[in-house]
Amino acid sequence: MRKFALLIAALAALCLYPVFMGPYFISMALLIFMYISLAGSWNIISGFAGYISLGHAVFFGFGAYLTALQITNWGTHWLPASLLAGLGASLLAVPVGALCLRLRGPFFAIFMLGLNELMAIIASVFDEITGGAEGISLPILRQIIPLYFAMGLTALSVFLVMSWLESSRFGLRLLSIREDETAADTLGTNTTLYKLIAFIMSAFFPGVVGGFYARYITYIDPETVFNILFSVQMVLMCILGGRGTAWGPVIGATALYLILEFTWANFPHFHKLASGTLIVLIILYAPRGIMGFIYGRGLAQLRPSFRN
Amino acid sequence: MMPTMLTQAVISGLLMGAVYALLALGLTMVFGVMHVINISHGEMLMLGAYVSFWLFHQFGLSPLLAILAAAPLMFAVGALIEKGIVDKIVEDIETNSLLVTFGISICIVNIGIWLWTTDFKAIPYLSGSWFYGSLVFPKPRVVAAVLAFALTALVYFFLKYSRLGKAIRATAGSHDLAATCGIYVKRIYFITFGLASAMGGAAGVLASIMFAIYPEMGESFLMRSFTVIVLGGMGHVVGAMLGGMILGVAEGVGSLYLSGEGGGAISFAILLLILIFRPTGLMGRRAE
Amino acid sequence: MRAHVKRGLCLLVGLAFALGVVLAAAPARAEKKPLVIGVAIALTGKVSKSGKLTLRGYEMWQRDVNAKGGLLGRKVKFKVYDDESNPTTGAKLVERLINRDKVDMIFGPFSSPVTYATSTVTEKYRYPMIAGGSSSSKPFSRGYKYLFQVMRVNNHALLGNLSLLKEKGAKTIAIIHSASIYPASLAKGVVKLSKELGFKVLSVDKYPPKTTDFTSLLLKAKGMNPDVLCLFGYYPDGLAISKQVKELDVNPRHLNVMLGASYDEYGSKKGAGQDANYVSGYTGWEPFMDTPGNKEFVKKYFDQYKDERLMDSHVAYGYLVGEVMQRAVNQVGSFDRDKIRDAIAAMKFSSLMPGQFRVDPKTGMQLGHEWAAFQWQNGKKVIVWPKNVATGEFVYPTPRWRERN
Repeated sequence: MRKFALLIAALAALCLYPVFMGPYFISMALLIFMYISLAGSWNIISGFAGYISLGHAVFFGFGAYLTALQITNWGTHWLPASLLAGLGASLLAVPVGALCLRLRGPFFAIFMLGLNELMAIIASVFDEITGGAEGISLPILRQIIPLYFAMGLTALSVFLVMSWLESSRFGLRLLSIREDETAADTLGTNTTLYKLIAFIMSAFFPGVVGGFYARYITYIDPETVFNILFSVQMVLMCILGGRGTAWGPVIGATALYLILEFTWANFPHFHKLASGTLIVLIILYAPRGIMGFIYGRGLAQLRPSFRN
Repeated sequence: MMPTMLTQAVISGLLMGAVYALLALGLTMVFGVMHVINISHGEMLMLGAYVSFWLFHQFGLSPLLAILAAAPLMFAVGALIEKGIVDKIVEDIETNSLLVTFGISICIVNIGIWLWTTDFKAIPYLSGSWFYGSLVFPKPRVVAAVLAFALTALVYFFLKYSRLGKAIRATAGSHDLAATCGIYVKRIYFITFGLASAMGGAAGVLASIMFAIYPEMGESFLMRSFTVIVLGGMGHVVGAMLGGMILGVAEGVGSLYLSGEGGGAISFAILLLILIFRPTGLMGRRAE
Repeated sequence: MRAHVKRGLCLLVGLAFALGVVLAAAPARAEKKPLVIGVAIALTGKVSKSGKLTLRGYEMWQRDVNAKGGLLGRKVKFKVYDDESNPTTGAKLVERLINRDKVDMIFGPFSSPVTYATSTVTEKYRYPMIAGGSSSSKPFSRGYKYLFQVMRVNNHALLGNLSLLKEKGAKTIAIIHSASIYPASLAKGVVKLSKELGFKVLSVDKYPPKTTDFTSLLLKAKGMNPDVLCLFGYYPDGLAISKQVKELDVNPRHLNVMLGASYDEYGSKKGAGQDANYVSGYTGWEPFMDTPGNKEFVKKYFDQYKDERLMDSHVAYGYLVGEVMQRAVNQVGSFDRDKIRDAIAAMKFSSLMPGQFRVDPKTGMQLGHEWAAFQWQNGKKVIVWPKNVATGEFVYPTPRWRERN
């Protein structure tokens, strides 16, 4: 009960936040929400189901482009446009997942890495539709508070989905795939179907926030939205917080974003180098992330989804 | 399409394919022996290219000789990475080795950017071509292809006939059986990873005389070598050689018809088709 | 233990007090707050070479203006960030400069995509931005009021080159360009000019920006055997593709390489070396051009940057950005950004460039500067058009590779 009250209070604080804060801090919170959504989405397919995606930015970029095109061509409002873009990203995930998730391990990882690169090329070459490398410029955005709430709600939804995965039957099935797919298969779990559903879910949210991001930044081009840095950050934020947990991506994204925000402008390349180093260090020395410490000290009730 | 042009495209493709094969061979060996997909393999190529660039501009050393320096150096780098990092997680689930080599790749690229900036560098070594009738044989590419082919053959015979090579193949076949036979598996890992990196470095030296050198050059090569080993069958040595040639020719001929923009997608399309229709590769066995 | 805490607290309070005194006293002592100009420009990434040179132009102007006591008595200071040649990073940084660092003015970035992206931010906050690094028309076709161009739009940039080629009897053109904003707009311009001048365009091919192997594109061009082959891209791909033109023995009667050939490095040993000869391009400014104040400007540059022999038009464009801002501020007599905007829109003066600085008051597009055509001859750039500033004769056709060296 007390926990619940705390949660409500936190939500209320987040609702009032933009009223008292300047545009710079609203932007910051908005981007933290975005990274929570991204890291959380990655967590669904890679943390819970164990299929490492190294090019998850592809759904983000795809969503950004779908949204920007709807806005410029049909004058659609950004909110429905982004939701549609999320659906579009999920649709993209269907054939990709159906083909690649049949294959185990590294095939999928590298395939996603390449798919991201391919989409960037497609976006830069079919310039009649996508504006090519020139990118797409959207009308100037004067009001970012609605976007703040949209991002916030998306982050909350992702969190709820992850919490559900932590305790539901469906989540357990994904875990069984992660731990021993052959065994899960033998025991009668339709692994292909469950992986596919997880993959589609993990594609939907990046598509949506990709749309929000496009509206927020008002200018997109292939190099920016299909940037491998987004994929790297999803991976890093999630494993920093703790794979296969609901709180992990939330903690990881917030912590890492704040650290980067105060260092990156002054050391632009340093943060990529640091990201790479951190990934290696975390996997070697703390593969369970921050949540590993929290569970290790008995600060929270251990969940079955957590890998021991 | 004129026949000369087609022949020319096939020649260019074969020349390119030899270099792809050399690079892919390293990737496939590491996978075969250690079950690790080394995402940072493309960076070994990049480092090799920079070694070649540096030796050329500091000492005027010919890139052909630079291979003699780059290969042992990259062996050392690879062996260090194996001993220091990969070795710790090689027995873990596959996802960890993927993430770790991904992290290593990002590190190396950005150290490269930090040290050398993203400017493109080039080695003005060998320019122009040999001619045969109306066909053109660009000198740098011919030299690179011949060397790549020689090195690939060398590695092939090493694996086939030498004692160490046999031990590596035995380990790839079964860790447990190899260990029972008195092979120290960890040492084999170490050597395999180093050898693969040396091959990547050598491929980098060859790439340096053909293409622009920059810290992010490894990625597109990694993608291509991945296509090559999927084509040839994961862990399959002859398959990698064949796969390299096929990819080279497919790219060369394909981009004539698809125009420049399509060229980049060919390698990817092949990867996709193979994954759908024959996931074990052309030479691979049926069972996974 | 407690004593420690107490002592620590005392120290803290003391420090805070001291800081307060210093802060309170500071404004009283300083004459005037420096004028902070925010710059997010490419210090790394694919256009970093031009970005750094543009920044040098800004710094040269800064030294000049501060030597004369600053702008309206305020010393000029720059707050510089690296946009990594990336449009979104640029936009984010400009937002940061305006919102968090609260800079007084913004100077433009380098490259058209970054200008395109960052101008959405400056427009939103009504900061006039003089873009020293974009010759594309696209950023200026959105009806923005606070964005101004220094380089002339490149649509007609190759008019000189094509006129000369026409004179010499060339008839066909093939174009290969990078799918980026600047090369694409250059290609469009050439297609349009070709129609006007009566050239036949055989093909227009594009490649993704990261391409390194141009074999198939060049084989196709070779098959068509055009009189003129145009290769449009940035420096790295321009250099790579030029090398492969020779390797594959592609022999157009004339080769035009932009932006590649416009860099001095292109004709050096590190670039294409002797193979640069006969290649042409266009330029808005060269150190050896005879325009008012140019000689002194170049001398000053080499005095300041002794160790670096690097110098090209971007330094001059960068300097001009500062000069325009200075003129506008002095004319208005304050730092009112809306008034400065109006002043720039109506401004007209002769600068280091051929022609004069003059923008379209509606779009901010540059109308006054003129382009010149150059050709590499014996390892040097020679201006071949327009005739009144020409330093040499245009050579056509280019000998075949097999007959050279």
